[in-house]
Amino acid sequence: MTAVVERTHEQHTTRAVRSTSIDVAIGLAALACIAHFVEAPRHFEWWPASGVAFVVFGVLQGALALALLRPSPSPRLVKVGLWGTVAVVVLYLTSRTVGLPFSPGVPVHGAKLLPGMPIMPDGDKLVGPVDMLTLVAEVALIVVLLGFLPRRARRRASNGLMWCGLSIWALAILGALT
Amino acid sequence: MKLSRRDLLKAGVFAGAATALPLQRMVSGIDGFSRRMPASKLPAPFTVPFARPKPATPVATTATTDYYRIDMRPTQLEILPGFKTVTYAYNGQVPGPTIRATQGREVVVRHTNMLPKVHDRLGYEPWTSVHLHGSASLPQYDGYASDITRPGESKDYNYPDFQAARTLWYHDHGVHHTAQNAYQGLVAMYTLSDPLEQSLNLPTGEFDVPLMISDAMFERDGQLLFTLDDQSGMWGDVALVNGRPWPNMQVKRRKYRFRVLNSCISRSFNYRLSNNAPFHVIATDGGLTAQPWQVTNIRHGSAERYEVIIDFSSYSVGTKIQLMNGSPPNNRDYPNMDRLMQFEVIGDSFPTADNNMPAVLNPTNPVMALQESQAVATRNFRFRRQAAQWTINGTTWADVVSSNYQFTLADPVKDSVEIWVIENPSGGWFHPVHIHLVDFKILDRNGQPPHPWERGPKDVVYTGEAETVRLLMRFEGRGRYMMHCHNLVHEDHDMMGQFNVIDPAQAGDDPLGTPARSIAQMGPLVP
Repeated sequence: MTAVVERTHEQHTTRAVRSTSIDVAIGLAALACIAHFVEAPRHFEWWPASGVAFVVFGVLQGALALALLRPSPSPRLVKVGLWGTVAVVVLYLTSRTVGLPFSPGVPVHGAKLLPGMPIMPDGDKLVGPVDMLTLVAEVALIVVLLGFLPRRARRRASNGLMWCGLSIWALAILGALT
Repeated sequence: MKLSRRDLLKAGVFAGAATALPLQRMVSGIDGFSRRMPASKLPAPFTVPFARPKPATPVATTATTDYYRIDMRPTQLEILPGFKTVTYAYNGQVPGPTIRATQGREVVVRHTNMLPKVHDRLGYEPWTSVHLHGSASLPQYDGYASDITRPGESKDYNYPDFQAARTLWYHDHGVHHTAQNAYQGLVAMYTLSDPLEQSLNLPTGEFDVPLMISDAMFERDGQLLFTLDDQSGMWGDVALVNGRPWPNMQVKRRKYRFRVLNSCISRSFNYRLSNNAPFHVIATDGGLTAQPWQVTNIRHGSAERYEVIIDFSSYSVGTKIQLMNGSPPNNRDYPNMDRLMQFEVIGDSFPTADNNMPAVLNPTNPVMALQESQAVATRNFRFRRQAAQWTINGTTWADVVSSNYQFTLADPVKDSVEIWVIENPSGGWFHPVHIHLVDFKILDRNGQPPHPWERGPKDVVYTGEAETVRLLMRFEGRGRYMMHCHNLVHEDHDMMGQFNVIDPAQAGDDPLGTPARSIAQMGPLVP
């Protein structure tokens, strides 16, 4: 009897934690969604493609927040949400380090067409408070979503995240991300 | 939520990697501003006495030409009381020495770059190129951005001085480092007089006053703090007039001629006098207007020059009048940037011979006489931020460089008249657009007549938010010349292009055809 009560209590606790985690995930996805919409007009003026990308990211993150409202989000949805958010984070990291490779301005960035005369001497890619808030929200969302995955999928995903992280660290240490 | 410690550790590797670099960038950005000198340490406005740039002295004079030597060196100066600031100075002065030229006499200046190989704080090589802004110099002496003089090199610049009287200025124009170099002090005035101007009995001598207005920001140790604000501009929290913070100028009870130059890296101003008294614009970038234009304010972008007459004769001794700044949109405002300097009326005696402002100044300026009907072509230039870069018609200086300096935005024929339409579609920033070689007449702005202060020959046009400005100009001279935004941060981030004035009878000189040489290789300055 005691064992049954304890198991029921544990299940309730797990459900409560899970429910709270989902609420947190919804909040984080919504925060990232809003941040992208807020920043979209400025980016559109700066470079239309980036403005469109911000709208798309905002829409997808809003859709993720809505999908997580369902009573029991499927592992597939969680995986898509997790790796989609990883992609957004990596894209952002690229934009703030080496620059986006498909940006028209970037191929000549830092290149030296004449001896000693750089086309663009600097690429100060500033990170503002909104950037950082959004990034932290997205990274937290990734960690929370990781917890929703079944055991085997979670192990695979955490390994993937680790290797992704190690790759970034390695590139940074080698000076490839400046 | 069933994350094990191992899961968390692995996710943490990613989280750390994803946030570390951006966090480092954000902190370094904040760190820049955290080094800013607190407002409490800045001088109170109007407590520092006014000063004028010293005149340059020629090292030699011949029947036709005056010769000058100007060295660019790091120089410690006291800009803020009690602090020594390292500047980059022309002949040890910031602003540099004023060259006074006369129409018909050529000037040759040997500019020598004695700057360090690498800037100790900003970490760049301070190569230079000197542009005499307002002069129809030959292409190789025009301060073409890529015609650089590296540390340890010299170049002789020849200035023809055949144009009408005007206020010019010489400043750095070295590709991609103009903002840093100019910010640190490589700016100076150059005045050109002619018989017409001399006949007008305008205020002269101590009553002909240069006002080079700029802004700066300082670190706690008094060194200049340079920020780019996401490449939008450099916005200082200290107003400098002739290198002095918010100075107080004693003025006598008479007329003064002020040559007002906005030498800011990015900031624009909207001047008015604190008592809202009117004053008169008598000259613009390209010289005297047809008549004095009465105004109560002037919107003033980087590199524009306005000469104004302010009459202090009606004020009692002891009256204090401030030059105020109603900041135009998209500047970054700080406390006390709403005021620039103060005039304090004193009772000293003064000469009356030049206490004059004629009703007619230069009614026959050929640029202002141009008619729209004379134009043989209309060209459109769109200045906008696009694809992560500041562009003109979608192109940048990188396109010029990668074409081996052949790519042009326009190829007007020598002596032809054209209408150039400058468009700024953005609401987020303004562009003071400078066209080298020519003086132009502003036809209209968004279909409306130009502002009263703009009714004279110009070489920079303030292109405000969502503004389209039509300009009328004649292309005298030949060869390749630059056009660019004079927000120097925009300029350095490639909002530059060039046009080629085609002379069917003769090719134009190569703007890179007379490169700088090492100091040891330079011959005598005077032939």
